Amino acid sequence: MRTTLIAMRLAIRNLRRHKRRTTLTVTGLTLGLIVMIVAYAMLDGLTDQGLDSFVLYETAHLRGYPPGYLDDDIYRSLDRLFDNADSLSQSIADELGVQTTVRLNIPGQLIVGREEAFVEIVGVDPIRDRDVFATLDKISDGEGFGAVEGMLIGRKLAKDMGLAVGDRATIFARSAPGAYNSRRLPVIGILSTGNPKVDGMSVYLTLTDAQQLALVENAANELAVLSGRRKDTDRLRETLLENGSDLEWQTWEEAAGGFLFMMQFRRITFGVIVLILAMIAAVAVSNTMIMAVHERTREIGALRAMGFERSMIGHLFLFEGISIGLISGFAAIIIGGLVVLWLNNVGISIAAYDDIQTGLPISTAFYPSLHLANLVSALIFGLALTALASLAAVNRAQRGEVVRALREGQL
Amino acid sequence: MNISVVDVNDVSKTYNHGRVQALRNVSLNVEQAAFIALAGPSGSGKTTLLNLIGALDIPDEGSIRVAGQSLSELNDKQRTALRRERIGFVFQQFNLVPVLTAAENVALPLEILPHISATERRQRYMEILKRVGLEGMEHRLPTQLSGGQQQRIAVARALVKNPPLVLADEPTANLDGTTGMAIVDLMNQMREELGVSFVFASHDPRLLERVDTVIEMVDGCVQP
Ligand SMILES: Nc1ncnc2c1ncn2[C@@H]1O[C@H](COP(=O)(O)OP(=O)(O)OP(=O)(O)O)[C@@H](O)[C@H]1O
Ligand SMILES: [Mg+2]
Repeated sequence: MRTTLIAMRLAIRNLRRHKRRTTLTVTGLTLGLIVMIVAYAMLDGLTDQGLDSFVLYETAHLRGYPPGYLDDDIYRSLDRLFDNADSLSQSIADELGVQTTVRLNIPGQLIVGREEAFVEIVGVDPIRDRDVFATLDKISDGEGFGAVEGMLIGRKLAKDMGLAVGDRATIFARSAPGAYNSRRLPVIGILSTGNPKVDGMSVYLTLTDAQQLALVENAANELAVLSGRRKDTDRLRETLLENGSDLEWQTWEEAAGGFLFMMQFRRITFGVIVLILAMIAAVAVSNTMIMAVHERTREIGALRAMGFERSMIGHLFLFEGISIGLISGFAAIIIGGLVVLWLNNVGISIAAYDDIQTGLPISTAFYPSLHLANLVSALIFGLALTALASLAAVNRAQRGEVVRALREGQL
Repeated sequence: MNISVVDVNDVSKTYNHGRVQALRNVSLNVEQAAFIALAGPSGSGKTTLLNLIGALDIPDEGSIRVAGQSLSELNDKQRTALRRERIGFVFQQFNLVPVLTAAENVALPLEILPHISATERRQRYMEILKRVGLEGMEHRLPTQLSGGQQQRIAVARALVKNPPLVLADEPTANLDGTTGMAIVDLMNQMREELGVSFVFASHDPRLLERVDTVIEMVDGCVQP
């Protein structure tokens, strides 16, 4: 125990003695760890907010569809419907104590003068939809369903089509029986959710208006459920299936599968870059440590003559190496943490990529997340890296013969 | 009553796979409170013999006893322990730890010994610092001390654990004449006060004048 303390004291003093060299090595390693912290915080932020965006605007926690619906081409969305939609929704809500709402999704077109765009027409329950989705709370201009009949459209779609609140546009879709049907309605509100699907390609009607367009009565093709906890959706689905629901259920996690896979892929790609950076850092640290051993060969010889065990000499240099990792790790946690907090405040705008299919469920800006695990990993990574990088020097320091060290200053 | 601190018996040592015969059938006896020097031309084997006595190296043939312990019966760890407990070293280049203060350098051998309390450690290094005449310098780093002062620290470091034996290889070679002799006189005084045996390797004539016995070495052999 006391020898450990001596080794630590000597390690710190030696690092302080070679300020330039220590500063250089520590700075390099710290920068690397900061990059790691910030980059993973960005990935964490994208993942967190991406999933939020999915849940809030697209997937809820669980969605039920008529059997076969999910395997079908979206242009056949109206082929499979449940027509007791309201009562089904109500009974699930009552039985399981969850929030539910039904939606009617219709693939169609939005026509303004000579412009037309393929859109997703979504019929929503003006009251119950807000218990499950946040979409109707995000009206940036105009107003929601209620006083006036009309449609809500996404911010980017409105911009692309040159539509403003009060303008009229035609929605055009194949009805359930098969014939095309259209309605001409005013835009009563603009939706700004930051979700590219909602903002860029969706038109929202009241469920009644949508049913009129599709020529169906009291029918819907989606039943969305929001439960107390996001994590419990698998169990919730089991309960639903046990209770004799003949719907096909999809959890938010399954719906966001492609996105999650993409984020995982980015993590791994970045992990490879981190490993390459780590190897460069390891070579630098390793060199520094071997240099330190080389310079102090006579000192090592004298300590061994004095009765220091080989292992004590090894510890001396191991602590010196690890101290570099420890200092760098804490510096990176403080600086990297502050950078992340700042970015978390100002956000990182990706609005410039508005017109590109980024595949992200976010279109405006995202905010890097400061996860404790991320900071702790950086510290552990720094410690492990310096410990490994010191091994060559440690081995050299404790292996040598005392006589040679004293005689030639060589190990 | 003559107690042997070191007993070297018919020791030989070669280097480079037998090509360099550094010591040939050397026998030697060092008594308690001895003050002796190995002398002889460069390459005659002085340092080699000192290293063997100091359990830093192993002889090819012959046996060595230090403080009652037969070195050939000890493994690497036990030899290290013997050095830690029973042998002090003084080097030509002082070899102080540059990042430690004078006091810390002197206290270092005690720090690696078990069962010595912080209070006792402090008491012992303060006393030995006083004995070597470096009171008031305990907070200086080696670079803030002269060569003579550094060697005094080294002597104090060798003596602080009260060893029966101190080995000093060319302790005056890096010092000017007056300073060197002051160091030798200091060690002689320590020998008298503490009863420690000193064995030197040196060709410094003034040192050789001051020791009790000079052992002349030529070509790895002790001259009669
Ligand atoms: N580690 C070693 N490897 C090879 N040869 C060695 C080694 N140590 C000593 N020798 C050789 O052994 C012989 C004795 O060397 P040693 O260092 O004991 O002499 P010395 O009397 O101390 O000389 P000096 O007065 O120059 O210090 C010399 O020929 C030397 O070259
Ligand atoms: Mg020599």
